[in-house]
Amino acid sequence: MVKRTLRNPQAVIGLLLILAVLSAAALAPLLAPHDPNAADLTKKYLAPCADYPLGADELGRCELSRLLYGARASLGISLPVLLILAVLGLFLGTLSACGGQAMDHVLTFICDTFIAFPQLVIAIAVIGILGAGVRSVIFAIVVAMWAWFARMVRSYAALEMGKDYVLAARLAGCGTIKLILLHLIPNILPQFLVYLSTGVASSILMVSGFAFLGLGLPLETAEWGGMLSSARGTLYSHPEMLIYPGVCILIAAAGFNLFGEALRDLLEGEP
Amino acid sequence: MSELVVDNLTITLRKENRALVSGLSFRLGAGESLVLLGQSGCGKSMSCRAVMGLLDRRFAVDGSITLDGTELTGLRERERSGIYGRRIAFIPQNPMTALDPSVPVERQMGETLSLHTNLSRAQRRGRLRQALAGAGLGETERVCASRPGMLSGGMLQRVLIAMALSTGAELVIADEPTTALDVVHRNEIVDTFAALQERGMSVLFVTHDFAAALRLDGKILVMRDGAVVERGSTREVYALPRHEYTKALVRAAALSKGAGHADR
Amino acid sequence: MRRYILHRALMFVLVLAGVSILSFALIGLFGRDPAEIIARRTNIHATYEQIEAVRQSMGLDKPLPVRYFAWLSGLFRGNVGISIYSYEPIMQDLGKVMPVSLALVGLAMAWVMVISVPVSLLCALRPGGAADHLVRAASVVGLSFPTFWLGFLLLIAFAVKTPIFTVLPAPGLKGYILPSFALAVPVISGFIRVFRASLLKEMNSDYADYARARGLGRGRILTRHALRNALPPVVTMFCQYLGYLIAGGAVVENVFTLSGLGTYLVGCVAAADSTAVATCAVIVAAIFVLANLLGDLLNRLLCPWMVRE
Repeated sequence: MVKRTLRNPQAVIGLLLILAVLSAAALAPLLAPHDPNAADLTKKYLAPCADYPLGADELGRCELSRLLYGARASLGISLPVLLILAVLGLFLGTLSACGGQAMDHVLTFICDTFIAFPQLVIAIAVIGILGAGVRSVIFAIVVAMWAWFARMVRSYAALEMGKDYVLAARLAGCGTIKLILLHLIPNILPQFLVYLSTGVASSILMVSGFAFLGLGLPLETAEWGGMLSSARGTLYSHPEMLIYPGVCILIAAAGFNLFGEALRDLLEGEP
Repeated sequence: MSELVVDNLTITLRKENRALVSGLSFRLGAGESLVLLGQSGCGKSMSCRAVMGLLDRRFAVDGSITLDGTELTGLRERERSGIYGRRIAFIPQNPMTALDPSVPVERQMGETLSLHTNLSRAQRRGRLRQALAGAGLGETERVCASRPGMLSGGMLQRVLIAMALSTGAELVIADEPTTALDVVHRNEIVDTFAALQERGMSVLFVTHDFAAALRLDGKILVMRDGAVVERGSTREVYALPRHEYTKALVRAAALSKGAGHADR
Repeated sequence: MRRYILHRALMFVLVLAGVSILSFALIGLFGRDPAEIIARRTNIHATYEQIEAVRQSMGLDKPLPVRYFAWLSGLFRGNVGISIYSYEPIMQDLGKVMPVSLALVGLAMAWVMVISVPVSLLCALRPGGAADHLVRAASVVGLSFPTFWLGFLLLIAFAVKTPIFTVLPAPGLKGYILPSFALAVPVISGFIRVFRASLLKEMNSDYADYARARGLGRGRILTRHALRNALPPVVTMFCQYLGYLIAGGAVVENVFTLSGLGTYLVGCVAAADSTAVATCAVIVAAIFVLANLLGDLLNRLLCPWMVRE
């Protein structure tokens, strides 16, 4: 399976992009030539040069450094979000599928409610309740996306529960929890991995969307969406300020999406 | 006259470079019947599909397949409709999934007819009903108006046979037509094919059922692992099998026959 | 059939109830004081008494459940009160913002149909070809595009560098072309993925195989048979997106300075306006659930042979 994945060009490109973004995030302190928040108005809108490889923004901050630290912000939020979503989704989804009809009805109803609810409103409300900061944004995205994950796990789990090997296991006396942990989850895992990968991409897009609207993160944070928001004013004068952060978001999201979709194709046996 | 000549047909699975059929050769003349007999995996269905041009790029087809001199391997897309459906008719293995579930039967049969003939709508209607009756179906109106999901497997199979009749095909290739049926229906279907043969059609019949082959009573090719192990007239091969594998098949057939299956 | 409709109607009511309660709960916990917000609008140094006066006049001193039921009864009467955000009647505000959002989404879905269907068909005709690979890669990238950035790129390309469109919204349909396209791109990408996969599944089916055996060409099989049978997942997806986009357009509206439902919602949440948020959320949820129901019904109508009770 791993070998097949590595032979798929789309998966490889995706992985490379993911690695690039991860490295940028992890190694930002080492790679960035300047402090991303060091403002120097004398260097306002500096053109790209040796000292400032991508120039400087409206407050004279090094653009490249801000972009690198932006990776930290995006992944620093998206990866924990997906971890929480994975645990929550697996737990609630299997609970819904295996915990009896009543539990299933109740959980499905709650999921449906959250899914029908406008995501942005949930996010703004949660951030508003918890105040600004990384933790709030993480929480906000989790609350906005959990229902989709739970529902996805539930439908896969329900499918698996109907299969013969589950019946056989039950007849052999296998308890429900053991069944879930040893059989159900390992069988759902590959498909779930696809969802996780594309979920990171969605989360990255969401984070930048929120930052763009000015939600959650302090306005001075080096974050791609926030940088785009600041660059709005320079639509006519310095359009490149709008290009760099956007490209970063695109690369990051595309990496995870390419990998996830390639994985999905491999699992579904595309010729 | 229509003669199907298969000469040294070899089918290889490209990825693994494994030969699924090697060196298959036979001739099928007008009004004759030939049975490809063997167990699953022997290559008989593969060979059929090669004749029909239904193998995708995963398979490499070598050798020659000709119908009255026209080479069938490597036919271009545009040329396909001149042969397939018109001169050669195919009866797939599973009639339940052979037709588009969303379209009524008459429309699908009509589609094939209008592709291959210049008949007017009214003429097509008549021809279809004739063919359905010829295939042994009563209730032609109901069948015509139904979607495939509303008909039984046996009825659908007769619809497929009717399609073969309606275009006036010279050769009909049937891929395991008796496999999904019980013994009584099996005999009926074999008799239907025998009747087609009497009308002048050549019949290429693929099966693993010796009893069905015997009933059809023509020539036989016994296949194993992609190669022919024995050939001749069905009766003779059954009476005096020479190859070990054929002997085993004959024994198995005799056992099931002797077990008291309702026959004739 | 009747049982089905009954069940769906019940779910509809329950989900809307759930959504409205969730709105009140979320905004109630918000921590901002709407009365204070209103009071400080007229007088930044509003005194405690003034804030309290506003609170009483707006009925904000009553406990949450009471306010909820007041809102609920108002909903049935068609009057849910004044918006804290805009200080106008909420229904009037909605009358102004809904058409904008609906036009945006409507046009976006039109883009989706016009672009996705032909592209998917072309891909399914020659799977594995150069065009197919290109489209598949492009669709994954399309899913990864931040919508607001795409909006900016479109503005730079078509409004700044080449002044075909204007940065600020032009009157009439012209002003919706760019924003609806920006909104549509991720949807087109997802749509092509699903439609192409569904079409290929049909093209690999037994009936497509037998059709080939009868001499029918690939193109004809694709358009006359595969297309119809490939519709169900696509119809479902289309309707889901319809519902999802109604409120999800906030960022696009922001970029193109349109006053649609998304922007309005954001403002209302910021102003801690429970009644306005609840009203909007319920409307959005209703559209979402109805759109899903529409999808289900369409599938049942178009493909009745696929319905299994």
